[in-house]
Amino acid sequence: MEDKLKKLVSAGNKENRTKWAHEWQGQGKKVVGVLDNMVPEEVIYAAGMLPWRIQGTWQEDVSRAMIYRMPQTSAFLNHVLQSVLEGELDFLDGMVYSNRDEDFVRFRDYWESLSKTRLVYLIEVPIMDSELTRRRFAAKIREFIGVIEEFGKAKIDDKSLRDAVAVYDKGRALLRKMYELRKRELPPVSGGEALAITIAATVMPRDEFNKELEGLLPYLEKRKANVSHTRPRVLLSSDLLDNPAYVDLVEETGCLVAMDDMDTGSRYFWEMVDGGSEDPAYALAKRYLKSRLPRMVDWQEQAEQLMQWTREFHTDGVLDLTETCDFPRALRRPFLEHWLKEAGIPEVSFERDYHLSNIGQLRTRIGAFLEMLESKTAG
Amino acid sequence: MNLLEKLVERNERRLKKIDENPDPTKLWSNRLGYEIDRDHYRELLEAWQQGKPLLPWFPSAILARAMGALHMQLETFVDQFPEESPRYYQAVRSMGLPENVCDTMVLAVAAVKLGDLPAPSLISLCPRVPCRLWIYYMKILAEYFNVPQFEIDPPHEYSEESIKYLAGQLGELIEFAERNVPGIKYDQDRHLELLEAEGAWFGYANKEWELRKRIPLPVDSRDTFRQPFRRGPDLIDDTAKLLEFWRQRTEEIEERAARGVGREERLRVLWIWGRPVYADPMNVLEPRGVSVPAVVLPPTATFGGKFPISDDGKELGRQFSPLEHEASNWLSQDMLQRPRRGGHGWAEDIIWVCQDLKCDAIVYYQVVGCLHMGSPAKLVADMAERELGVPTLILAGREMEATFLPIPEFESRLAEFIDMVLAQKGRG
Repeated sequence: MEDKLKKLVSAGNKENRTKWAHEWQGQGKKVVGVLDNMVPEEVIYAAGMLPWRIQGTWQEDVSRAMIYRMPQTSAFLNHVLQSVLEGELDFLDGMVYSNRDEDFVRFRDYWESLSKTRLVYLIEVPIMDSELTRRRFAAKIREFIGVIEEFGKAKIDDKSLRDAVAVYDKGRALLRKMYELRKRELPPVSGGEALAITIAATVMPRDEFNKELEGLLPYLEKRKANVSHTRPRVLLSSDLLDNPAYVDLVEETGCLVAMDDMDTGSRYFWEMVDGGSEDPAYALAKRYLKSRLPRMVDWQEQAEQLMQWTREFHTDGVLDLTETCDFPRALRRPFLEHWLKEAGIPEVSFERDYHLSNIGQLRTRIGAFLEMLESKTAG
Repeated sequence: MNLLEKLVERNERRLKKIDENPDPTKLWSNRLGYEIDRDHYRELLEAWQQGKPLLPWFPSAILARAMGALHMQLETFVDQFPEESPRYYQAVRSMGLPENVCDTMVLAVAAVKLGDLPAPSLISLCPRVPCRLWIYYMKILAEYFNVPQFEIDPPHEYSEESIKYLAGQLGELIEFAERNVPGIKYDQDRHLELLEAEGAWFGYANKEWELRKRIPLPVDSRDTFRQPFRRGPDLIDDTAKLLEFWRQRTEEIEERAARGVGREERLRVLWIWGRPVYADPMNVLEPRGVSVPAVVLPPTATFGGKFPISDDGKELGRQFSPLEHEASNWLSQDMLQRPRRGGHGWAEDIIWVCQDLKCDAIVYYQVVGCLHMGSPAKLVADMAERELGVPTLILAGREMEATFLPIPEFESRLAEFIDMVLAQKGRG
């Protein structure tokens, strides 16, 4: 079982992550790259295509990308563009993304000019959740269904969409079960392993992922993670962080990452689709608008969610690792800090690059925060 | 002294200077323009002192006025005081806000926080520009000043469905404002008057656009950088005075064009997006005989003076309501459709402007942190070179201060580029 777990943990690694995509294409089926969390992957899956989460290169050198990109732009997108230019993403049949933020919107220009991808599609997602915006987004999802049907030469009816939603919701429920186990004093998986498993879900066919995780859950019930520290317990908050080595770095510095608030982690699967809804497009719209990502303007609700997780996962503080130039998150920061402070939750924020770098500096800063948490707990 | 007081005083000085020592090379209508600017700042100042509703970055400036409020384009106040940027950056830091976002916006937030500009009475979480970062600036203002916030979800494509969707939200915004902000009361008749004035203003501005095609350019290029096209009927209560300014200005430029008045032109440059207000590009351009017929700047995104004219619903076979008219105007702004059209659409538009205004070169100033306008620079440069043989200089810097691009470097790179283009064209 441990080997099976290790296999799942390494599924999203650089070496393995394209494996399922190539197998899928080997069967004559299409693979569609997904750039961010706001894309309803269920639609792609319902058309018999594989939604595959795009990562950027983890290497430091992005010099080719920077010929096109302006200064002070998303490090994640710089690394993705470098991957595009190096041909690493040439195998993708399509690429779908949302207006997550301004940089994502503009990124289409580079993708269209510089990649070989046949379909490049932006799905417009509102920045707030209301009845009006749900209806609007549902209409956009229906447009998206039409585009995917045409691209995949496949019919997506309510039944196939509901079936896809059921598969994805099952995956979400399984991941939540795994996260529930993280509430334990000594959880079955480290923070890095939990992130790696969530990332595996984004590159594997979902039914296959579900089968793997479902088979592993009884083992995880009994497993104890091999971690160096169980205290302090930290809630790690970030976006576009797809390299588990970052989480390992945090834990190696002297803590346990017991919960996360990341688009590549809990935010990816936390909310379920309302299976009882008559209109599956509306149900998807409702689910995706509850993403609680910093791009949405419900910042106070986002802070409340963190407070709730802090209580439920018994964490001692929130460590925010904002990626350089992730502007919605950076602009939310002072308010989040204020609300968490009011709630008596220690919080600190550091900037990080997309690729693992500035390790020494990060270790020192995180170490100082952990010392503060320890002394607070001891006091 | 707050920024509005300083702006009133500055415009008083300008008027005094014109009265005492008129410059025959400048447009005489500038006097009325400065008077309008002064009146605008004075009106805002009085409203601030009297606690009247003030709406920053509202979806429509004239709608704000029709609601009995005044509109504040905060960044256009702040960018007139680059010398204040160190103090404002300090405030940005103390507020915990990032410094690498577009500077005039975040510094405007700081200016409000420091009391140099008025706090808002209501925040509409959507400006009339497509850049979503603006939404967050407004969110920040709303949170800091604990004022009511209303969320608008703007569609990006022009369609009847979008017009209805947006107009419906504007209606809800009005109801929300009337319920939550003392002094707000929507007056539809006033709105119709203002829409009519706006149409007339667009007409004058578009006529000026045509005149800017003439060689020599019948207006001073420094005037282009001052963006006179921004003087719309939202600025002052006296709509007749505003339209009189535009009538005088257009007639004057027309008359100059007819007489062939203007500086000798060796080169025409289209200036895109940002400009360093801490430096004067004309120090480099003017001695080299370079004219600038347009500066393409958001937030109006009208190619530097060419406005979309609404057909008022004719294409859809019916008459728009005032709010539908607003929605139509909003959606007609090309930039809003860019997420759908992509940077290629933007590059195609720039090619069109270049051809229409007979430009020989482009200077694309990427404002650091402004991803919306800055990102497609390379696409524009490639397309302009390929399709028109027009070279582009891409510069990256802030608007308000010189950390990213010090003045000597800015001037030397600009001069080097202009000299190269002049040499290539055999006009060196």
